[in-house]
Amino acid sequence: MKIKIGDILILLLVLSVTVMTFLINAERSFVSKNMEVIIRVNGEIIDRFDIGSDIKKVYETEHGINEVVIQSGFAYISDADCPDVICVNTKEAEKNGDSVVCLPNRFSIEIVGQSEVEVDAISQ
Amino acid sequence: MQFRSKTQKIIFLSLLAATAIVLSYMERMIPLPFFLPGMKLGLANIITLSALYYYKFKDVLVVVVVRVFVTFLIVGQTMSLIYSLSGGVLSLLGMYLLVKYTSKWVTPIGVSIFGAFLHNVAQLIVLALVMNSISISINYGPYILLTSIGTGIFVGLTSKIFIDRIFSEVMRMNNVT
Repeated sequence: MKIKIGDILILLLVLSVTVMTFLINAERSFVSKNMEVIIRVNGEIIDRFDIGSDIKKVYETEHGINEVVIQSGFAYISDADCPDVICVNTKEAEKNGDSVVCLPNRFSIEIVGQSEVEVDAISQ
Repeated sequence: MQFRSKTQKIIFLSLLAATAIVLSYMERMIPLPFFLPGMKLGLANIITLSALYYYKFKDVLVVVVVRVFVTFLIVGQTMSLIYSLSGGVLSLLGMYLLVKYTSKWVTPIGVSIFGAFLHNVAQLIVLALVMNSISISINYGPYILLTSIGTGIFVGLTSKIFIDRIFSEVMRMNNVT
């Protein structure tokens, strides 16, 4: 089977875009001061906690039920009533930019570090 | 290619759609070495890609849309309908342009990698729109884009064999090429 020049070009293009997204992420995760866990339903922020806190809370929304646990610097969804339970099986969030998402329930938790919060304060 | 009659056209396109539906249902049963939410092999893309080499864009679009809707009826998750439809249509557009204008320099493998990549890009955009936050897509994007290279090569190789050994043979037997 022969591989032509165009295949290599496409592979390089896709690979470079992927590496670029990795670099953008690496830069974000260096920020590690005053990290907050932000809990969103349908894109709207409904709660925020410090990552250092020790919390177990159940959120009942119109889309479904999710239980969030924040413990020793990790945040994760411990229980949910969604059909696929992908959110429960997702790795815990610990670094800036990490997130756990529950699509059927429109529910997400995300860790946001200092820099983004500052930008928000200025733009207000 | 030219169809001899409308009936022949309907039968050929239905066969393609049926094969694609079975493939996209079967791929849920194949265990993968590691798991990312939303990650899959994209076996149905074998049909889309092979069909692009023989049929008009409009006909392949019909096959893709029928496949997405019937798979939605079998699996039954509303969100997956939006993801599959956006991903399927965008990757079809990209692959069509590659097949039409650059088929001298690009084999099905390259076309397939590009298609898998566009499929994931469309899904990341829809994810950002649904969750109303772009940071989740940016955070999750690199991993899912990396898998698209692997699955793209696999699907491309399979499509190449499928076109050479099966598709062209079926065409020859039916005298429709």
